[in-house]
Amino acid sequence: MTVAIATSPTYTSFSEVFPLKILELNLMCFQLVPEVEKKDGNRLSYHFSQKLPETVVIWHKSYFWVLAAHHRVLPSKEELQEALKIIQNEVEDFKEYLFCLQLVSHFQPTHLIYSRLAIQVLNKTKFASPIAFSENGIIVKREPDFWSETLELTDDVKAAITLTICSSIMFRDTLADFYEKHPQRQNPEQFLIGLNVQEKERGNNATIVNIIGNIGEHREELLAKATGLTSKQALQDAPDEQPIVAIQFGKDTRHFYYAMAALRPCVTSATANLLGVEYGKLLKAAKITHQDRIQLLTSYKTTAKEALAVYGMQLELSINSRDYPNIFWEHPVKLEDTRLLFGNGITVNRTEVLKGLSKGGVYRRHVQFQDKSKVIQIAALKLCDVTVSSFIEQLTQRLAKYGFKSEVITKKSLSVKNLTKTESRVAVEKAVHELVEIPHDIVLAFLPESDRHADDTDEGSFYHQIYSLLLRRQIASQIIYEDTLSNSESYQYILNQVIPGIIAKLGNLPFVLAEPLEAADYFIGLDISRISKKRQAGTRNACASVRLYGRQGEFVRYRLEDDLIDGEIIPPKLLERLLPATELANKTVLIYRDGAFVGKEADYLAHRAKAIGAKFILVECKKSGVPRLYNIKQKAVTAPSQGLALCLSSCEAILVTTKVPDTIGLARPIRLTVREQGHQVSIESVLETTLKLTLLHHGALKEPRLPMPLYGSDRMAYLRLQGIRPSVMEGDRQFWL
Amino acid sequence: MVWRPYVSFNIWSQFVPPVGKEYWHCDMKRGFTRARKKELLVKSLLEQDTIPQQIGLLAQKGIYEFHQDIQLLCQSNGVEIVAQKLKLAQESAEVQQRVMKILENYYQSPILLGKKIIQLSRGDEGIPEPILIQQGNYFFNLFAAIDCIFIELNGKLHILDFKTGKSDFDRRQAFVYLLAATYLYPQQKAVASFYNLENGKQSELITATDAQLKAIQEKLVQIAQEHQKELQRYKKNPSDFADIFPANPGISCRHCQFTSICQFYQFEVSA
Ligand code: SF4
Repeated sequence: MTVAIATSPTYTSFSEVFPLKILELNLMCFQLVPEVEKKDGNRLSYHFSQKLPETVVIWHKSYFWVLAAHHRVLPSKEELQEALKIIQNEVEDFKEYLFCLQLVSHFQPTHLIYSRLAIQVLNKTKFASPIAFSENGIIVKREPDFWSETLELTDDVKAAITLTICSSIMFRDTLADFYEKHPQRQNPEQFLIGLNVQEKERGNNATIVNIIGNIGEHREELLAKATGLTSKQALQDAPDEQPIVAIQFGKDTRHFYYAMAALRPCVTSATANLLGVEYGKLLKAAKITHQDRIQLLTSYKTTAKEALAVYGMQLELSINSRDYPNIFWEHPVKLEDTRLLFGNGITVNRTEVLKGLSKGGVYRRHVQFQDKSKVIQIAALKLCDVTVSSFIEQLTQRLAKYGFKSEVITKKSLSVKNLTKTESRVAVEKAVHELVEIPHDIVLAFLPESDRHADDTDEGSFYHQIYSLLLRRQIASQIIYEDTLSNSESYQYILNQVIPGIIAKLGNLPFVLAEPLEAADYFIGLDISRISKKRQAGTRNACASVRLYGRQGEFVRYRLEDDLIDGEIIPPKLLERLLPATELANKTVLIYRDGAFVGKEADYLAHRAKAIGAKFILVECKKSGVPRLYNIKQKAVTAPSQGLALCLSSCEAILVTTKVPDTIGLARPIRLTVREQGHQVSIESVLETTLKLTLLHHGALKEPRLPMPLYGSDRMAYLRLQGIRPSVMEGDRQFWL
Repeated sequence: MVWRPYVSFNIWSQFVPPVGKEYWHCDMKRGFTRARKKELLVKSLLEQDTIPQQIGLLAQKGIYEFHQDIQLLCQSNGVEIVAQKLKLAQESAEVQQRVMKILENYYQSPILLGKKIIQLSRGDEGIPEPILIQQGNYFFNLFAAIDCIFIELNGKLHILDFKTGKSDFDRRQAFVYLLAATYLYPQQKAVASFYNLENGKQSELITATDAQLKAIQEKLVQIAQEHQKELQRYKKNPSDFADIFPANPGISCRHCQFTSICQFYQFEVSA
């Protein structure tokens, strides 16, 4: 296969990051007085870009940057003012402002500005998006996705962009069509409220929160307020009796009114069936083979290249290990050869966990199990026809082999075969409720094979239902599928997979790293999310979870905290409680933040470190918006090796943490950024540490994408977002594994 | 008498909410009732029987009275006589009305009639005799205020708990009683059930295997220990109250008797 972005076989790795060469730019800069905030700045620049032909505008740190195509004259001040006036007229929120527009004569664009302008150009560019699947009006489309990057090479900084591909599953028609054909059309509340929808004009996702009347009553008012062309048209064309829906974007609590023709339903596990397509089929179609991926990337790159050239920018070859050998990094030794420590001082390779367990037993027993006569109390919940007694017998034997007595004290089986989905969910809930009333240590759930495929459907699967019901009671669960039990010879294999997990979920530590990590004394996963639980204007709840790990990657404990906050400010008290001085004083602590440090979080943490005489290394760990990396073997593009990294700068890198089989897709790397507010360490040591911390997942033999201090923080968040505050705000059992 | 750590179903439910009621759970409520019950303000709040409590108590007494004088269940004015004995006229209108309904219900279908009752409590006897339980080296007292025990035709003990109001049955309570029965009547098999005197709803028969009862006993030990630890911690550092008993303001405040003294009390503003 020839690959335009990878024409030479001499390199072994490449990325989806493309540097930009800046040729000659038709660039200007202006400011608005009074100054606008980031959110409004971005919105205004979007509208400017729409209004000015062959021109793009971005907002960056109080300046608006205007880039025109090279054959066009830059807009004059009057032209800009005129555009601003039109925008103010059209967009309700800006109507009241009296803006004064000032041109800036001396300006110094940065690489970030170049790359953001390039992205704005691509936003205005039409890409061909092939359709990979189409059935009953639902399509799976391959679409380009792009965002700005900057690269800090030793002697140079470069503007760059990431260009990647994603599959989007879409309903081709509008929400209005969906509504018209819906069997429950008479009760729109029932199926519309809570439905996820996509705004056609800009592609933003939202949720329907209300129905506020019909078009006939409000058409004129809404027309006067509508900004986008699509929404206007939709409003004009809609029949009088069609409902108007109120939608809410993400965490923004404001409601926006829309005609249904300006929206389309999002295709989710819940709606796919309604729309007449099997969700599993869609997920399959959403997978992209390496070959397709590269071909599409090549074609999108050609389109992007042409579009950018018009604006005086040249898109270069993707960052690869031939041109930039120094910024690719690979873990020096094979990860699986990392030594692990078990009980009685036994050490083995990562690949020999079971050997370690049988020779040495677990590294540490939970207090509750320190007395070896303590019996693990198991409940078995069976939702399928398979006989499980012999499996359970082997399971208890295996636990015994590793030093744990166990007994199944409650067995419950439930036939869901002849029940509707709703009935069966009710029955499952009842059964789980009954099980948790008796104090079991762990619930083994045996599920029908069909549930495997329902699994991607967050709400749809029994797996998810049982898992969440137990999670909210902090009861550990272990799910086993029927098909894995059909052949009794495979039992041993399954037990290999699940036993270390069961032991760990009960608070024991099966193993830790044999060699301590050097980067820090403690490793912490920090997740702060803000929710407006109280729905009082201005104040929100900050919910935080921390998980503390020691130098050998041993889990110490978790802690949950929440507090009322105003805006972005985290109460210092919350930090005090989360990061207690008694334990962390004078220590070096690497703090992984799930996502980005927002607001003043990083500054607060730096202060906190200083106050307690500790060193905090502040590392952001992002899961989305990360370019992929690839390897090349004998001219063919292959999956990246586990542990491959691309260092975008001395404090930021993209890291491949997982090995994903080709049939499943391509590994999604994570992005690690060391924040300048904290103690500084080399990015390589962060990469090494992060990889080692992925080796400590006890619940699966495969490594997780995130280092263990962060793994599952979404599950902890789940508890809080449900408004559930576990009685134990602090604990030492990883029941969420 | 030697002092021992103790536990009851009530304490268990203050630690771990009933299934499905997780949202309503607030540890601080336990803090008030258990750690600060002697403070004047808290004491006075605790002493004010809430309406549901009053109804529960009167209902129990009513049943007791009917069975003290079984004739009352045949007399046409039986309900009125019991009501007089309960001095119902002195109660608030809501209490009067709901308790009358309960008495009438019971008069219509006296589910204990003809049963071989071996224990029927009046409801106001105070703290029941503790049951001494040993688990390993740990000794603790279990308090179980059982409403009624009778003997089934098959010779099994039947522990019956009366309910009023709308709340669901919490099977954990039955389990605690079944565990208590193994100590009080070690030779006899037992079942338990709930009966709601207001709506006539009856639970299924609840049983537990030996292994399950063992698990429950272990849980109770754990709760008894945690409870003592908490109380000690509070005694040492009363200023850590909110840390030891974290508040969960919001929906849980709706039916909380401590709203007047709780600094975390919050109105849930509906959307
Ligand atoms: S008022 Fe609310 S926060 Fe305070 S104790 Fe009662 S339920 Fe808890």
